[in-house]
Amino acid sequence: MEEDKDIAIEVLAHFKPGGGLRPQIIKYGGRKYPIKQVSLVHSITDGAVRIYFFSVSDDTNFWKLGFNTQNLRWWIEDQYSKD
Amino acid sequence: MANLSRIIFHIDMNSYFATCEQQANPHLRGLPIGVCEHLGGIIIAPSIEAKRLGIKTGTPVWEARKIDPLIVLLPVDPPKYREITRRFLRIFSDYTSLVERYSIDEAFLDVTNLIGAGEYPWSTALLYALEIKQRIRLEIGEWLSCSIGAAPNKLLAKIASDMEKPDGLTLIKPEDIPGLYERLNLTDISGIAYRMERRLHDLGIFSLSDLRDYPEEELRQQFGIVGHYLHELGALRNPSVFELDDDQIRIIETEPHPLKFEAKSAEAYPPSPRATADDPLRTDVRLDIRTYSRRRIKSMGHAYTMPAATDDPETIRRLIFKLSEKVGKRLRARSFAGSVVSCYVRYATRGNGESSGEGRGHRIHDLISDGRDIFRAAWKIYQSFHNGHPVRMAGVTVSGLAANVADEPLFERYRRAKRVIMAMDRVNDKYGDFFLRRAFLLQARALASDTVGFGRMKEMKYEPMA
Repeated sequence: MEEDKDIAIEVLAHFKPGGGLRPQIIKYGGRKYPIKQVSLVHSITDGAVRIYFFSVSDDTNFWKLGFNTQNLRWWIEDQYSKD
Repeated sequence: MANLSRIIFHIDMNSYFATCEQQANPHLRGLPIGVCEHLGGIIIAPSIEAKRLGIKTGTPVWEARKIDPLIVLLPVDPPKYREITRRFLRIFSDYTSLVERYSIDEAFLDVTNLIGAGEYPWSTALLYALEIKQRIRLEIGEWLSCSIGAAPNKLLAKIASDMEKPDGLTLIKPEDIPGLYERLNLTDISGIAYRMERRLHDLGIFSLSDLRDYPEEELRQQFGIVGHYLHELGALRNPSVFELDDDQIRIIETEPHPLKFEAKSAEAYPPSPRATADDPLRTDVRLDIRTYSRRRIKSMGHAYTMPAATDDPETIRRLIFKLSEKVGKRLRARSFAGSVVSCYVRYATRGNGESSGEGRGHRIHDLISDGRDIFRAAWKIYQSFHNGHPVRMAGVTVSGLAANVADEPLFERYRRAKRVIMAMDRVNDKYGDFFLRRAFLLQARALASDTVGFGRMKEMKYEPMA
């Protein structure tokens, strides 16, 4: 079901030629989760800092990943599991 | 044959907030979901699947859970919806510069110049509409869908888009107008709701053709200037109630826009559950067009529904102050100031399910845009009518607007206040709303926080009312 925790995570991401960033694998809790789909990317400004949110999923899980462009940190903003 | 009439698109994203959430999270697709601001409130946006179960916009959360205990409830996420809105407006602007953002999920496009003086303007309109639908899916998200209505004026274009949801496409040509009178009820017309319908029934007006045939003079006698608007609605013309001025906007000539995706067959487009062998493009062709013009901003306001009703005067005071500051900020951003302040509240729902509200406006002898000045007027108004009942929703509006008010105050203390406000605005523009705030609002962070009004995108933002 839905969980809503700001969990710090490791992310392997692909910087695409011509610009753009795509998370490929996320790792937390001792497990790796390859990302199958990036369904939406949007951003906000938190003060002067731009934060990007990547809505990503695999076959079972959904994550809303946050990326702070100032300190270059990733976290899980929201997550959902079909199980 | 030259195309002498206008063609307007009304594009309405289907179950918008919920569809955005389902676009973001593929595991929610096909499920009943509801977007709400808080669990004590109402469903702001049910998904198409939830609507099929009878859950509507405005259904209390507790009732939605009763209908479907497994409904997935999600908090409203305004930045997500605004981003998608920006993207589809960018797509629309590829076709015409005459785009009116009507709300967060609706827009009107004047595509008359785009279509030009071809021989089959309505067929061309159909192809452009299909292309827009396809581009939304391909360029923004495959789960997003919209209903498009194409017609000679905005009123009819909106009626057309309402005819088929979700994922509809309806064209109304001039020769189809007479047939609409058989098909439409009074409340199918934007501007005629149930209360007005009852009043029209009292006059013996039960159908749209009755309204069309009813003498305008008698409508004016009953309703004043509104009678004229009703007469126009009966004729299926755009009345001023649609916030249209008589002035036509300047027509900007555009180059013909080449179709990017060739419409060869139904297989070229995302499949629709409504496609049939006889009608693979699901088209239903109709009607005719008229003038399109830009509306003026007549007022700006903010309203907020609290998670729970309260009779605590300090909380209500902070809420009204914060709403006043929000209105002031938006006025200043557009270089407006206003001379009429209105304050209104809705009280907690009583045990019998009924709720009531109250509001008043007051003209002040000045033009103001400072949130503190707005609050002073709004608070006085509130104190003049409040009856001690717990308040669930409050709103503040400033009208009597004047644009480009740039007079320099005569006295230094007023000039100083103005400089402080301008400095605060510059800081908040850079770092976010209420980054700098008046001390009184330090304890008001949770009140009237960022949300998205789902009403019309003129300068009046409403949050949902319980």
